[in-house]
Amino acid sequence: MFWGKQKAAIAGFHPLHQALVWQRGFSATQPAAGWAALIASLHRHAGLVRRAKWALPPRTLDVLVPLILELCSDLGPKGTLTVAADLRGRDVPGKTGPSRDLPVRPPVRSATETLTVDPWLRVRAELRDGSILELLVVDRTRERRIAKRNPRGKYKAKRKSKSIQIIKVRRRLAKGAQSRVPAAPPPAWIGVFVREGERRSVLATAKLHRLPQSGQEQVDRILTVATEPFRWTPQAGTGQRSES
Amino acid sequence: MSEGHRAAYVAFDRFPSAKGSAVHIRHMAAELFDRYGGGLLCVLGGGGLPAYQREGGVEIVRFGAVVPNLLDRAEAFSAWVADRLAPHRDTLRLCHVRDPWGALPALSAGGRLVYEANGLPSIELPYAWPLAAPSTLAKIRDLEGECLRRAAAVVVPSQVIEAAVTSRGAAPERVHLVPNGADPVRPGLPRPPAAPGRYLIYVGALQPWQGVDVLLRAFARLADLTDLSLVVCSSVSPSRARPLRRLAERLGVEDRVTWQHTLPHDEVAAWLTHAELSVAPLTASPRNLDQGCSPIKVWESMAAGTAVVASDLPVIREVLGEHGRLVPPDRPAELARAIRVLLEYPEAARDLGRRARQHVEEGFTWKHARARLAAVYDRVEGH
Amino acid sequence: MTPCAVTTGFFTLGKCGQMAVAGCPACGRALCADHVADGGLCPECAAARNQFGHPAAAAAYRRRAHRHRTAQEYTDVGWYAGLDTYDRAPFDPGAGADQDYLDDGADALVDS
Repeated sequence: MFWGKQKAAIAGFHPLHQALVWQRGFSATQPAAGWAALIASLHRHAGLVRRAKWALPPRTLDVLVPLILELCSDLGPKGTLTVAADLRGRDVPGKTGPSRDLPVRPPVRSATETLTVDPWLRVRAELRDGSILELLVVDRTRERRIAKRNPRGKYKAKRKSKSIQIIKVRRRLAKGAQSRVPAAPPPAWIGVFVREGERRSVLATAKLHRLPQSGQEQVDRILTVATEPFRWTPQAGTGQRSES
Repeated sequence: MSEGHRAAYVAFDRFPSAKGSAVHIRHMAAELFDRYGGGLLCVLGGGGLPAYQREGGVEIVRFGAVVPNLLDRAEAFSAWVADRLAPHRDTLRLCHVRDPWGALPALSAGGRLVYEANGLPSIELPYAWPLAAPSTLAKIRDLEGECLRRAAAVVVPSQVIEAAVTSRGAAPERVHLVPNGADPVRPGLPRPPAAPGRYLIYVGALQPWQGVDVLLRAFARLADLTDLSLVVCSSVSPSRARPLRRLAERLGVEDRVTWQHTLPHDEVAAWLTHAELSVAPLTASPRNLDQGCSPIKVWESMAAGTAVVASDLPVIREVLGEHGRLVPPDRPAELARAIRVLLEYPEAARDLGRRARQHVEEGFTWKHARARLAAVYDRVEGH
Repeated sequence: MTPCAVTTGFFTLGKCGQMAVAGCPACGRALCADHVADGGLCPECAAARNQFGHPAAAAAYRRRAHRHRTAQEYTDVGWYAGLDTYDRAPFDPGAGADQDYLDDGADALVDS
């Protein structure tokens, strides 16, 4: 049997780790200890599995793991973290919408535009200050195919694609939690909406016109957007919320 | 674990050290911590100082990270201060800072901000860092302006700095003048064993704007007074004195100049007391003219009862008044002549020294400075 | 009981608060049994010495590094002026008027 040892090693991994290998994604809710077990299992991957086909999907170790680690440190003792990750990439069925024809004039013969929407990460965390943090990261790609013909009958086809990323973070504050408008506005690329109610919720959205080029940049972008809702409550540090 | 502190003093400066600023920090921080029954002192470490120290109610924490670039270091210090202040957010009533990088974390730390402007980095930094671009200094200037505008009170040691901070947007009614001071030296201090017979003395750091080179050139003109030496009590390390030593060699006075480096504060007082004259040859640079300062060397010379010969600058006139000899800045010949005249009339020099000492005792000891600072704190709290 | 004074959390900063059993030899803060990192240091001191063996030290390092990288984003953490590489380069050790860089503490921003 081929790859038998590696297959056996995968069978010994954390179930979510296996889901990442076979389905390139997972969706799960568990407390911090469960996520720690998953991360420990992920760190064993490179040593045991060499086959490229079974490698961890991109963004696993450089984006997903740091994010889970940071969010787990904010979970309450009974809080859970829900992560729905879809790391198959954008070129899979179901993510591409119908293509649309754009109006053209000669020499362009046709121009079609296709939108691909890839919501690859959803997170929901119940934090220790009683608030709930929700996070959504979507990659959107617009692809245009243009065909033209010159007077001598020569055809040319061109493709242009542009990717953007949308990051949305909502934090629903705990009931009766104090909040205040931050002294300084957020950076220009982050928008904020506040919904009043019994539980005030602060939504921060950002649209990046260029996909982050590295895992670290991606994590920094997500965490920077996620910082905004936390500026709406008095800075912690004196919270002294003991976990015991 | 300690209770939250009610006061914090933040200084991007090593403390304790041999420099004038350390004396200043000691007295200002003492007033603050006496008032609030202790507090947090955030300063620079290094040089073998402990990172953490507790003295009664006062906690001293020192920033020890090694960050080569000065601006990076200032920012790292800022972040570090924010970290140190965060646990005291609920209790903190007053933060006393000395520079923008201390002020930034203090502004969001809860409590009111007292900004003590002894100098302005946007004017002072280019002397040590000549490659700094004007646009960079403009940014730093904006930063200063922002901090000065948001401070509940700005404390300045001289009227020249007062004008400088007001021009940066500090509200004039919130700017308070608290001149530096010096404690009168107790009489009968023994003569330092290393002291030469008759000597002139210079005390302080060796930056170009201090004008030590002018003093050396003036001293070269006093070659006929063979029994006279010059003592330079530098508050910085010997390596920084190297260019000046080279100058002394070129002028042929190197064997008549005694160099002392980073002496403890009380030894400096002994050196000052037994000197014929103390010289403060500050140059007429923008640093001294536009930014201003309140040179502690002049205050301490006055308190030691030693006659002072100093450059005729607004900042010096403010300190010295009628009680010293003023000479045009950057003019070695004039400086030499003034020194020679005072040396020829020792009674006049003694009289100057006595009057200067009296002037200090009557209104400009550190006790007086602390009382003035206390009044500022009263006003800040009253609001 | 002395509570452990190690900072926990990424957004919701707080103190650990469990019973302390040791003190950090470098900074003196109280540490509980879970937070004693390499060499008996607290996680932050360990991270400052590049010892990331303890998960809390790695977390402290990441928290600090992230704050450092993104300090320019939010104006209210204090970087109004946004000093960039060009602004910083003249303040490198070799660029000073005094070419001998010696850490003798004479590097204050202002001198009184």
